[in-house]
Amino acid sequence: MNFWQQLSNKQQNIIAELFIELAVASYFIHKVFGLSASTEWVSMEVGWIVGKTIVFAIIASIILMSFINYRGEEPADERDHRIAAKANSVAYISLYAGICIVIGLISNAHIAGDYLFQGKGLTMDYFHILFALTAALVLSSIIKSCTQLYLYQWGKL
Amino acid sequence: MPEITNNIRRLRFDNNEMTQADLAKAAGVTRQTISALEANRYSPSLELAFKIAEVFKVSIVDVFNYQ
Repeated sequence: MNFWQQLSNKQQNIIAELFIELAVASYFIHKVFGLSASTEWVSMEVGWIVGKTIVFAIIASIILMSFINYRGEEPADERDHRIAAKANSVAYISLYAGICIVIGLISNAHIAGDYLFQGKGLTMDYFHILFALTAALVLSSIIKSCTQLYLYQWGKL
Repeated sequence: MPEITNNIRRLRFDNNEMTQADLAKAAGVTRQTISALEANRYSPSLELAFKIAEVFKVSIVDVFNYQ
């Protein structure tokens, strides 16, 4: 029995979810930070990147999930529920911390801009705030998946 | 600190070498949960503990120990 077959259906789903989250986040960050300095943040280009990212995420989800769940999804048992609850509480804490950081960044936009963008002193516009909030959401989701995988493999509940 | 341990592995072998998958099906959980129980990485709910004892037709204290 190989490693993949030893994993439960839930673990396979979480790995697929994590893979999609990481791929989508990497693609989005790579594209957004690859924009030329003259490009307006709120522009057609950013719109296209967001659109392509969403389409990519949907297609990847359909392909991976149908590949994993072709025999039907296994019903969750009490350990799955307990692991999900623990991972949700960890994700909540990380999201809470992320939101606090974003609030801190907004209230200190000039100082944070100097720090994050090498002294360019950028102020936070709507796009920056939106990007920071999205990053907090995506990060907390990645943390949730990683916590679940850790608990399934090594956790003592 | 006291820990919950169990004799599930021994009981499986005493019951015609029952597989983890068979026990999981009878108790209504996944094979990975039985594996985690045997490795003492998971403390089951009272309901699951009773179900497992029922599968082996023994008392709950013959399956689980708190020490």
